[in-house]
Amino acid sequence: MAWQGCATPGKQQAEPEKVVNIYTHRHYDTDQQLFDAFEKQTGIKVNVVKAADDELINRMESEGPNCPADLLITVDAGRLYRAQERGLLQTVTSPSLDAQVPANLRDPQGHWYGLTRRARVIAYSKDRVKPADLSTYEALADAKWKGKVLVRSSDNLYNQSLMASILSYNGEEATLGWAKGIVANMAREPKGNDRDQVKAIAAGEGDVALVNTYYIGLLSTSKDEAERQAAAAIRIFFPNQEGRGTHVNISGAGIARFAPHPEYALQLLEFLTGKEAQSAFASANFEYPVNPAVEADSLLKSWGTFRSDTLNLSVLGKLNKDAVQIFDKAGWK
Amino acid sequence: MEVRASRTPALHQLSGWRRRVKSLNGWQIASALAAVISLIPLMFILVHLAEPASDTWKHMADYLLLPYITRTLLLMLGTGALTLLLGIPAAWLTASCAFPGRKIIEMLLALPLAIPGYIMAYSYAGLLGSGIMNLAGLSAVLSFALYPYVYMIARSAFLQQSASLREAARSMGLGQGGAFWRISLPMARPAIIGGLALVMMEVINDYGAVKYYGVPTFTAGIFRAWFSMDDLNAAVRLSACLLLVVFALLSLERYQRGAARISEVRTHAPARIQLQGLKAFAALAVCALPVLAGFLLPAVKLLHWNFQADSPDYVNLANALKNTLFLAAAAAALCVCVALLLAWTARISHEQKAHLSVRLATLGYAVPGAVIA
Repeated sequence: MAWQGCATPGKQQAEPEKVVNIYTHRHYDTDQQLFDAFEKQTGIKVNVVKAADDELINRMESEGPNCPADLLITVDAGRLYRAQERGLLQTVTSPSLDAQVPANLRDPQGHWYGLTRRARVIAYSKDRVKPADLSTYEALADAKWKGKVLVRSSDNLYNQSLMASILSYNGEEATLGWAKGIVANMAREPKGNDRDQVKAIAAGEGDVALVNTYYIGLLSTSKDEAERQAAAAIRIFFPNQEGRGTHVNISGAGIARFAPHPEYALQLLEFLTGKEAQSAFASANFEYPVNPAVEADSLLKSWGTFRSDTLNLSVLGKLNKDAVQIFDKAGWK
Repeated sequence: MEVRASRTPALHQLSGWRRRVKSLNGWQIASALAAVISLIPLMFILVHLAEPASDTWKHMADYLLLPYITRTLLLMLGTGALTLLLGIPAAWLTASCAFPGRKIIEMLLALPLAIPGYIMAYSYAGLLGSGIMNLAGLSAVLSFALYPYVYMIARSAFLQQSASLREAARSMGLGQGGAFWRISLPMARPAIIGGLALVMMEVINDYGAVKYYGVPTFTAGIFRAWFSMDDLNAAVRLSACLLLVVFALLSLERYQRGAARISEVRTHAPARIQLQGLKAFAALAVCALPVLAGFLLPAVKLLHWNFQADSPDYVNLANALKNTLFLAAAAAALCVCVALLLAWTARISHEQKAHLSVRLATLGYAVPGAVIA
């Protein structure tokens, strides 16, 4: 199923229609602007279907060879791995993709490539918490944080992937112990999304929260006064800097196994990991670029540089189910 | 029904079968077909139930099943009770009384149906903060979205009640309140319970609101098994548990209706009770409250958010609107056709089998979206 080669404009004999169909979980305005720019540059029309990762994967599976999707874009590496496991993606190799995406942010065989990075960090109250008290994800399970930890539900992919990474480093027993410790320290039952956890710190419901970086960027530039105030009430801490580094997940893409227009999909993938698109992801949506040649947004840079976990992200997919079961055993709703 | 002695039993059976097939008309066959289609998801579940239980199922039974059941039941009870409180008084007042503003409020009361439960939940979290994001808060929010089911059905039941009965009750010394509690309400009970059953099925069906409020119910569990744990076997087993609850609910509704079959001949349009002054104002307030909670407040919050957005994307909005309207129209047309078919079949045939297919087809509504998906 491997499809080799760069996007050469010469071979379009079989497919006169210049379109590329995308199934994506990303629902940001930036993406549409980038697709428009791609269309202008190449004349290839971009059709978009938006839904949640799992729904898209199930849909591709049931559509089988008739699936119109060329490119699957998810917001979690674990889901790309799942699509790969079910044989829904094909491998591609391209020198420009290899240059634009670091090795740990793509599948070793080329089934999928990262588009953006999101760090899962500790947001803390700037008034009630000293950064010196923070160190690792593991340390949030200490009894000193009793009644102070905010985190969303275990249904959430970002939490599942964080748990999978902890599981891969610490083993099942220690990870279950950690999860139980977090549950015991929760300021309230898990509810809402990442933004709601930050708002809860501002409202004094808890002191520390596990959140994705780009939500904080979105909050601090929000039109809503209350959201900006919530972002102003917190600071960001990158955990596990002394050890393996902060957990990083990707939003990424893979070319569908039965893609009707694989060349255009590859062209789009190269475009999205290229400089222009990467700066757009960074500045408009506050995600960290995957392309090492592109700098992060100034707000992101103001949080400082950090060491990120270099665990190959396919591990998040392999351990996803075990991670979910640990949540349940620990009573993490 | 007599059998000639010369016929063998087998032949007899054959001709009986043929006679029965002949007696089936096109309507009945079509109805049976509709029933079969709406039951396909059920068959699917039954087939998969035969497979041995997976480890995931054992894991879920150990850790999740009981909390799912408790939470789902509590949410059904809470939401159900609140929809009655919001729906019945408004239904009775608009059906039996006259007061200024009645005609407008009568229509406004149905509006919350236009706001999906999830949007309602999200806008209330925006209005009131995370304090309401729990089981009690969710019951309230969902009842704001769902009370119109009770309101509309109860109202039409009240409207159909004969004035003469109520007048007789009054003449026998029952006050306005007595007539309501002892005549109007008991007579409308089967209809109200029907509306309540719809509310509860919507509650079971909700996925977005329970997820956002952190109150995972059965439906959330089905998705967790299917998506997070990637295990269809466990999802199917959960679906089967959920269907048991739904069937119990439907049987209760049917039993209720069977026990109290009330028919009446309408004599004349009932005279409305004229309300004035403070009483009229109170009636208006009782009817306005559900509209405020179920439509005005969330709509204002949604508009507020819309104006805050950088550049509202009107092109996408128009497209989404077009798709929604098309889907709604197509689905509505299909529903009406199937419903007409079922009602017509039930009407022209008095046979058990036709009623069975009509009854089976109505089950389709009760099967939660998660199960069908």
